[in-house]
Amino acid sequence: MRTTIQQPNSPQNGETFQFKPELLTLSRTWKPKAEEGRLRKMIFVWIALAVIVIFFMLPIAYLFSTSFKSPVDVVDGSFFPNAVEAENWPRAFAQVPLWSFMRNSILAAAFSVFVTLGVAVMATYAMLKLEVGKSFLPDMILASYVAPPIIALIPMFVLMQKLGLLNSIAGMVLIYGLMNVPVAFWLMRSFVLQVPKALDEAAWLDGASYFKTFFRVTLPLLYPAMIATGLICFILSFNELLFAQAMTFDSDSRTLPVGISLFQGERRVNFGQMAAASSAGIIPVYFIALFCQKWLIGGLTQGGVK
Amino acid sequence: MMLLPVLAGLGAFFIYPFVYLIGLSFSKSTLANTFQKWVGWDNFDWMFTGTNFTSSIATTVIFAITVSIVQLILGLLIAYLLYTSVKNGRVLRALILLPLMTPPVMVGIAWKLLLSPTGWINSLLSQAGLIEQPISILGDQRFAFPSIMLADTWQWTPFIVILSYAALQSLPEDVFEAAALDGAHARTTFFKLTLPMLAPALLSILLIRMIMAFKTFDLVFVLTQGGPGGQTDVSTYTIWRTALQEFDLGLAGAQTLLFAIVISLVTLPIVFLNNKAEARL
Amino acid sequence: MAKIDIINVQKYYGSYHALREVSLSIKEGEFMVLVGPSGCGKSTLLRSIAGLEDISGGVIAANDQPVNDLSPQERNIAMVFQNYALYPHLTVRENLAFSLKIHKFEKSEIDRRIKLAADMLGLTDYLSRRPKALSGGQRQRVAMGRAMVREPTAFLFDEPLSNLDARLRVEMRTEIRNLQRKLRTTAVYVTHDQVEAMTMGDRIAVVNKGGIEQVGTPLELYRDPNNMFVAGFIGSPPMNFISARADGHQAVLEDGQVVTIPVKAHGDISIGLRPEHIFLDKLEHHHTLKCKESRHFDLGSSLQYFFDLNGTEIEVSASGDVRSHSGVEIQIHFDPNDLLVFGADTKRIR
Ligand SMILES: Nc1ncnc2c1ncn2[C@@H]1O[C@H](COP(=O)(O)OP(=O)(O)OP(=O)(O)O)[C@@H](O)[C@H]1O
Ligand SMILES: [Mg+2]
Repeated sequence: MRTTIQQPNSPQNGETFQFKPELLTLSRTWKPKAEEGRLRKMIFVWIALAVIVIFFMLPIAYLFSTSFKSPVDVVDGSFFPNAVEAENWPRAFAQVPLWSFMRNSILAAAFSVFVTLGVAVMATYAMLKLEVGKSFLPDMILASYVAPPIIALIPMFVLMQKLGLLNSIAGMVLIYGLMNVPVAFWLMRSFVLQVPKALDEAAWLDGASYFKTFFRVTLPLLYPAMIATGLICFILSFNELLFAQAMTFDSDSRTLPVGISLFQGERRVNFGQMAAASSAGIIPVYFIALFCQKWLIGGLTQGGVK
Repeated sequence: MMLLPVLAGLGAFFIYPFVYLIGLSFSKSTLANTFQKWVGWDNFDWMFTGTNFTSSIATTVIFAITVSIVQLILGLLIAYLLYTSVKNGRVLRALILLPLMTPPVMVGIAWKLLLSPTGWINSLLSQAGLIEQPISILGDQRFAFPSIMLADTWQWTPFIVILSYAALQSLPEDVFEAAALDGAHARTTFFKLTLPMLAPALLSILLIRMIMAFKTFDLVFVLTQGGPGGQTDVSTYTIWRTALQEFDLGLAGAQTLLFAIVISLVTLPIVFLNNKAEARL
Repeated sequence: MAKIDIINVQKYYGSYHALREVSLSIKEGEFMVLVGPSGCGKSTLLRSIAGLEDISGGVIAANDQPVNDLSPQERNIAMVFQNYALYPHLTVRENLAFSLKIHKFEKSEIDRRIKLAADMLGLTDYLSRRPKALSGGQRQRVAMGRAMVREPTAFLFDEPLSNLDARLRVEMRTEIRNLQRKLRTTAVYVTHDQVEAMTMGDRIAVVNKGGIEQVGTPLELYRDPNNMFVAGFIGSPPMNFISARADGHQAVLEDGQVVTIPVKAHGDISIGLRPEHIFLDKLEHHHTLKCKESRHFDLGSSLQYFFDLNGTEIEVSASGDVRSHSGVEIQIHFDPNDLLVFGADTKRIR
């Protein structure tokens, strides 16, 4: 049998292999095929992804697009403006005190995050380290999470009224700060349960005071969990409407969702300006969403899938 | 000692409200003047006979169950597509995260614009020859409730995508390789392995989503205010109106209690199922 | 049962060349062990046989039929994974039945095969348990059983024992080997443990940097390694290498000591000498080298010495007891015919 292709040397005692010649030839000519139907599958995947992305981007895109429409374009029904009308943006800011709303929202959300984290971190620490309420707390907190927030609306309204904190940013900080504790605790707990070893080591340092151990050892371990939790709580507070619209009455304390929901409720509202105001209100959260994506996804998945 | 703040938080948002609400529901109370007198079961009687609150509860239950299941299926399918067919999906996942982060009020406004008689969807429908006159989708008895569900699905499906994607990632790869060698093709693998192995995670996700869906308020507030004809009158919205627009705190208290009981009745079976499924693995 | 031919197989991960023209012929019913250091491509080769990795070039053939273009589902090959890869939500019985059900076997046939496998592997009492409720060894057996019931063309094992404790590992080696002998199914077994390779393999292929260095029976590899890599990899404790300059049968060490080598060589060489071939008591024909003791360990059954020869550490496993101290000069003895000579290119000089 004559073949142009050499049998490879066997690594066994220098003999050569005795492969079948046609297999040997094939070994030189065979190329990995583009799998049959791979192209069809790729096309399917791309179409499916395009549909998904379009669906999830559509309302946002339409909102932004509308923010550049003149009153004539708005009733035209087309997706994009016929002529770009940038005036809507400055007019929206002139029409409603957007800057105040934005400031109120950011202040309320940011300070409430500190309240929430303070409470949640202590609770997490107590549960893990001091073994207090190890089974009782999570159950209780889950139960309080099942309860709809409307339960707390009326009693809190009355309470805030008595404390004189109605219609104030401080009041909203307190409300949000406490309201997000169950979520924060739940998130922190599932984060921390992932690193039980590290926390156990903290116990070795018990010779020092509790507080020293807490600040030197435990707290730094909790930082990643705190960042993710804090971001999620910030967005929850920033987006909240029910309590804010019941408890704030003027532009010194109203948050963005309240301000914008009132704006859109007015009778003779200019759609272009309304869209511009809404778009402006979205920008801060999208900023966080895009730049802190990793933390947000980490936080969401930690809390969600136990 | 360190638990004090969390207990205070629980107290303020959970225990105190419950006690307070029970008090309210047996009293004649208005927003300006609480606990005027004790009225026994009057508020409850009135709730069942004089108001539409039971139908509001039904609306809420239908809403929560429908959207959570639809979103679970949709979200899982998208996550599965991303997981199996997209190598580096970070940008895609970042985009998909956006609806979830959007303030619900803005979500409502965006959909209101899309669905309005002068909006893009109407112009699409008329271009396709499906309608002759622009219709008020949100003002139509047939379309208003599905529209709320659509907007909710738009906002919350990404939540499920992200969670089920993480759950998919946590599945052991070698089990799927073993299945391939055992002769299992894509469909068998999905139904016989992927789904059962994901079941506990999916139930948790469903549970969380359903609990959230029960609390829906913002979308209804912006899009339909409970209309048309009470079609979209979800309970949180009804209670909010009773308390803050009709100022009848006694009735609102009774409504809230009933609502809380119904939520527990609907979600507890899933909690139970969830624990059972988890014990299996 | 099949013979498996691997012909000039190439695998690229992007630009990384994971398999470099690998050729190997595995006989029907043979137990072939792939052994080599971590990252050398053993798993890649095994997974290419299974079809879990697409190869970039070459041919893999079972019974002279190329299988390159067959999916894993079509190859009828069973694999036992390092982490067992059992279906966590199914009982042991369902795990075993999984592939039989997919291939639409009769219920009675499925039961027959499961019973056979369960009896052989001692799993009868655990059939209705889930994997979570089994010990590591039991899971290992289920994984074996799942491979067995299919009566596949070949068994592939990827470090299946590495998660077991030392005792169980030794037990399972024998068990796997006996099972394979009984079933006479061709098997390819990946391990990085050379003792496992030596005790289990009919033949061993030593893999290094994406290529096969040498194939042979355990004894062939031990006695007659082709190069320094194989010589150093096979055998425990590993072979000592002493550098020297050779001229004919004479080799001069760095400190001037002269050794007679069994083959002719010229220039820089490495002399290989296994620890078990070095003696502390001189016998006839033995040659002698002077070195310094650096440390020793008492292992109970034997003593493990380390000697210093021109800065190279020489390990000796000997039963003799010299009770010396660190730094003391000492003589070691060996039969010059036990010496292996390697050239500067690390290849064996025969
Ligand atoms: N999917 C992959 N992408 C890129 N490189 C890979 C991939 N899989 C393996 N490699 C590389 O190919 C080489 C061989 O990997 P392989 O898993 O076959 O090693 P191995 O011999 O099984 O090692 P070990 O004993 O550690 O399991 C390694 O260097 C590894 O980094
Ligand atoms: Mg490997």
